Amino acid sequence: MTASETTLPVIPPSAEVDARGTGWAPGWMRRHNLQLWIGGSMLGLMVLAAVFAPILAQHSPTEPDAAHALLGPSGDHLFGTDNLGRDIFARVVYGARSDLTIAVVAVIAPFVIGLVFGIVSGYFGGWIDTIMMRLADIVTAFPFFILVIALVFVLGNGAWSIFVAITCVSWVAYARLVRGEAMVLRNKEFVAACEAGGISTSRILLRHFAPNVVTQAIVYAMSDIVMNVGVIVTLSYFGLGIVPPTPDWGSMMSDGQQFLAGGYYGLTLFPAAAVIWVSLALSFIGDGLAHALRIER
Amino acid sequence: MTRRKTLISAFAIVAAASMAACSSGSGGSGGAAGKPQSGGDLVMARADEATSLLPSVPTDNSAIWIIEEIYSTLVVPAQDGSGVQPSLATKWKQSADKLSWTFQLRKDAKFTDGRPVTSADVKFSIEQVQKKSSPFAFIDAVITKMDTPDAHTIVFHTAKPWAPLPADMALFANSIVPKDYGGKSAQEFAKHPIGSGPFKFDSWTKGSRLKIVKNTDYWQKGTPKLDSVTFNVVPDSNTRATQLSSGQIQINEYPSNSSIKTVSKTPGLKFSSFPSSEVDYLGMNGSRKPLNDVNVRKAIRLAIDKEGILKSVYYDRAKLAGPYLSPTTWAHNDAIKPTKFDLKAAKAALAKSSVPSGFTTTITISSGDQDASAEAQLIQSALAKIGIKLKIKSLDPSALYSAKGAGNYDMAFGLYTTDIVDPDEIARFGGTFSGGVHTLYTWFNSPTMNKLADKASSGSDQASRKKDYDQMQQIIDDNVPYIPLFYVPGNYSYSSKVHGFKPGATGNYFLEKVWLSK
Amino acid sequence: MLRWLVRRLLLAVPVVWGVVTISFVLMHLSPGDPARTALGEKADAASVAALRHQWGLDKSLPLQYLDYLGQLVHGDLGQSLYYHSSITSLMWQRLPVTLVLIVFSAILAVLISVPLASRSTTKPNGAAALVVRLFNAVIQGSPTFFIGSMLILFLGVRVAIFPAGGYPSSLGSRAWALVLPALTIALSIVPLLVRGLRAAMIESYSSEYVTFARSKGLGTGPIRRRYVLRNAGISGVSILGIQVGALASGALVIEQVFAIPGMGSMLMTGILNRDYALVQACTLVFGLIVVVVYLVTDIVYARLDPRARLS
Repeated sequence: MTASETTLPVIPPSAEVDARGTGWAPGWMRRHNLQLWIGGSMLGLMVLAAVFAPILAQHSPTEPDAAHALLGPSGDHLFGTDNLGRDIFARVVYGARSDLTIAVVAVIAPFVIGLVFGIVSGYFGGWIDTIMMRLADIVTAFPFFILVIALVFVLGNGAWSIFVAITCVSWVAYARLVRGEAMVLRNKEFVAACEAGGISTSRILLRHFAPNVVTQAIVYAMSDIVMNVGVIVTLSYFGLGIVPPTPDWGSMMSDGQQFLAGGYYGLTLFPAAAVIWVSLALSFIGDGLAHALRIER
Repeated sequence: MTRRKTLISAFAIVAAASMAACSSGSGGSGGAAGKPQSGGDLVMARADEATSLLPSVPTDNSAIWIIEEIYSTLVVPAQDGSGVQPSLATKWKQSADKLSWTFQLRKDAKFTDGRPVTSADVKFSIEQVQKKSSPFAFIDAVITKMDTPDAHTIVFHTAKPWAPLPADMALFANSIVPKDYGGKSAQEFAKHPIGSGPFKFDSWTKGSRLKIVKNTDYWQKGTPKLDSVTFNVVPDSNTRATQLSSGQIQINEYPSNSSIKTVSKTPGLKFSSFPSSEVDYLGMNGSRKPLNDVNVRKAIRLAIDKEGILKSVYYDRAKLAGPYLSPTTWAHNDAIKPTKFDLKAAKAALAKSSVPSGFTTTITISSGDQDASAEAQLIQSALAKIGIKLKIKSLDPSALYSAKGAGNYDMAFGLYTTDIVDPDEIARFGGTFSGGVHTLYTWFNSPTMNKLADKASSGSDQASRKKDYDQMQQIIDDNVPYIPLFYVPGNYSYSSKVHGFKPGATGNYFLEKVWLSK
Repeated sequence: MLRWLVRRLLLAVPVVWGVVTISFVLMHLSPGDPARTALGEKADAASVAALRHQWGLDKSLPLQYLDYLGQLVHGDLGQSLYYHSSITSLMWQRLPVTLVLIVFSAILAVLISVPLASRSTTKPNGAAALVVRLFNAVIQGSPTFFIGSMLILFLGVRVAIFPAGGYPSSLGSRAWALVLPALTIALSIVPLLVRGLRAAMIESYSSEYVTFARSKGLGTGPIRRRYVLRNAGISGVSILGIQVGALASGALVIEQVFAIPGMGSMLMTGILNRDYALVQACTLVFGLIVVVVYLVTDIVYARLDPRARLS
């Protein structure tokens, strides 16, 4: 390790989290980068469903209707109804709106912070690097959910707190990833050449570093979105997520659990399927992107 | 006490309101199942762990229900909640000047370390509860002095004539511990508590299980039937339900309402509701506009479809509430009926108010409480119909406590139960500004209520006390500081091998009467 | 080596200090009052004030913070407000449970991941690889609490092989009862582990020495055993080490679902009851575990891979 020390273990390149797509799909899939297409269309479908939710859903996702509680799937209620008689299909598609928006938006801030921090830290090293690594260590040594839960306690629940909490925690992964790449670049000859040629530091960082390190971060962001969906859903399980009556997959799943024993699986399984669907889509997209951007090894 | 799920499937750790439910028995498990058998280990699953077994410390049901098994009190609530019955004390009476009560103790009661229970132990025990940092100091505050003329007589001097004193002595906090904790520090004693109840403390693995075993020297001969009782902590309500159906446990202390149907359908399992003093209410912060307007509050009361909530959230396991004192107390005013759901009348009431076309307000619920969330969503959609836009906000239980205490909320659910069989405590807690928490955090302040409560507690004739309580309930009903929604029973699901299980007044389990069939 | 060890341990000090400080600040910023929470809503204001004084909560925050640090320096974790007992003794009861759970999960995770990863590398473009990868994505998308309750529902109730949660007192049935929770936690890190192992295996397949070994006529079996698995093992250790935080987070959720009396459930109780000292102690211990595991990981890594020098 050349730069500042850390309490984190040495990470072998191949194990670097999830970032490098390792292209594990049959050849026919890879040839035309079908993964990207499959993942893209799966996600696209979900996004379309979210956008056209008012047209797709025949029923209100929030209006209770006690007379029609706990119905099984039927022509009228495609996925059945929940304990308050609300249409589960409507709730799943409307839920896509809130969950996807938050999951995607919550990636932006950590991405940017991590990118800047990582480049600066990797390029300059020294005390900046030391401070960053210490901060990163502290965040890593904190059990993830404890930090998020405690933050949501302080900030109150709702989308805004989820953003802040996720940002506080997940910038570290980006920073680490980018820092590693930046450190490698730092030792390349062209950087020395640029410096010698009197090109300003900010120009070097913007023009040469950022584009080179960003691809990895983008690929990582795909699995980060999946993790964010997981965080939002789990926070809802703790009752700290999205505020009712806004439909949200997490609260649907946790509210539905008490009805599993009674044989009403739909309340839990349909939103769960939606979560898994999005996760599959993003995983395909991640690998596809890695393939397309040629960072696979 | 929290009967509901709070944060992750029943982290019902923060004991809301109070704990012990005053129940009058009906139903109950097994009657005709044959001759009581002795022996067996009864396993009960509960949402949270007991906090402390020192009687003067806890406010949570998990601790209270065990304390009631390992200690004795001077008197016990009757199982039907009608009054108190002898326990350690065999006789008691109020002095002619009504300023003191004398209790005679039985002579055959022993602590499980073999020492007899004496009046000195009683005096010491009550003194612990009177300490400032004890949660129930307010109950014993009326006692100014205690005399112990002999080992089996104790005299309580009260600051004013105090009819509820025998009921106060049945409170779990007033359980009798050995004087000076048998020479140990309070903390040491709490680790291996010694009482004179039907069961004896055996072991406690914090976070997991607490075991009590039969006290073979219990003064009430022939009881208990069970060899031991084990209380397992199982936070997730689904897990508790599955443990019951797989036979891992015999009693589920907190079944979710939604499990009623499944349990009743399963052979070998039962679901019973025991009358309790629990009242669930919707509180409104009267120190804020426009909730300070009685017409607004009346409009809200009219717009809530209680029947609908009863069906969707309580699965019909509750009664619509009218007056704020529940039917389990003799003070209940049955002339006051539950308000009928009437949107037209609600609109009319709102039209008369300061905000005729509606307004926006918030309801704060406890995070993870799925029932409260469902209830809030139903109320939200109902209020929308009369132009009131209700936003839902959630806070974790501890923060919700603080927010309500500081008056930093608009509307919130709550529940209260009585700790003693006498109506005095709950009439004050739910009706007076100073007798509790600003009239259940509503900031409703009526000097008449205070006067009536004082008058009722100093009178000794039940009929005249009843008149005062009736009037108090009428005032709350007229002013609607909060809306009593439901009278909620204590729900338990259990194996049909459990017999004689009939939780009674102030929540006592009376486990000495419970037996298991093979 | 010794100097390196000492330096690493010294580095851990600011990390652990940071963890404790952050949890102190976060807990005290959260609205809520431990005294009111403990006494219930019927207790009067004087009782609450008395208890706050008894617990030292009426002091200023910086003073409470200094007091706490002073205690820590003397090795005292303080008193739990909620459990009314010393935190050190609670920790001795709870910590082993969580440690066993985490170790058990780690073992299961390895047992599941290695065959999956190896299966998907022998024929990287085959159907098996695709299946493994779909499995991976599905598991990654399923929240831990959901996997947990599904396992209870199917393996605990429908086909009652395992108990539906709980923590029996006899050792044998306890180990059996820990299978499902450990499996749940293990599954939460399997996707990452499979990916990492697979990448490492592919890398070593294509590396020069494997090519060299092949050219010398060494069969696939010995190559796998001698080089590929060994190489994958090295990165496996690292990934597992890095995932200890995730395992601990998993334990937090899963201890609730399966009613296991570990540190996770104690921490959650502490948070909900504003038991400040308890929360700080738990995060401190979690932080220590993470730091120590990282350290051990590095040592093992250095042992396995001569290229990684411990400088």
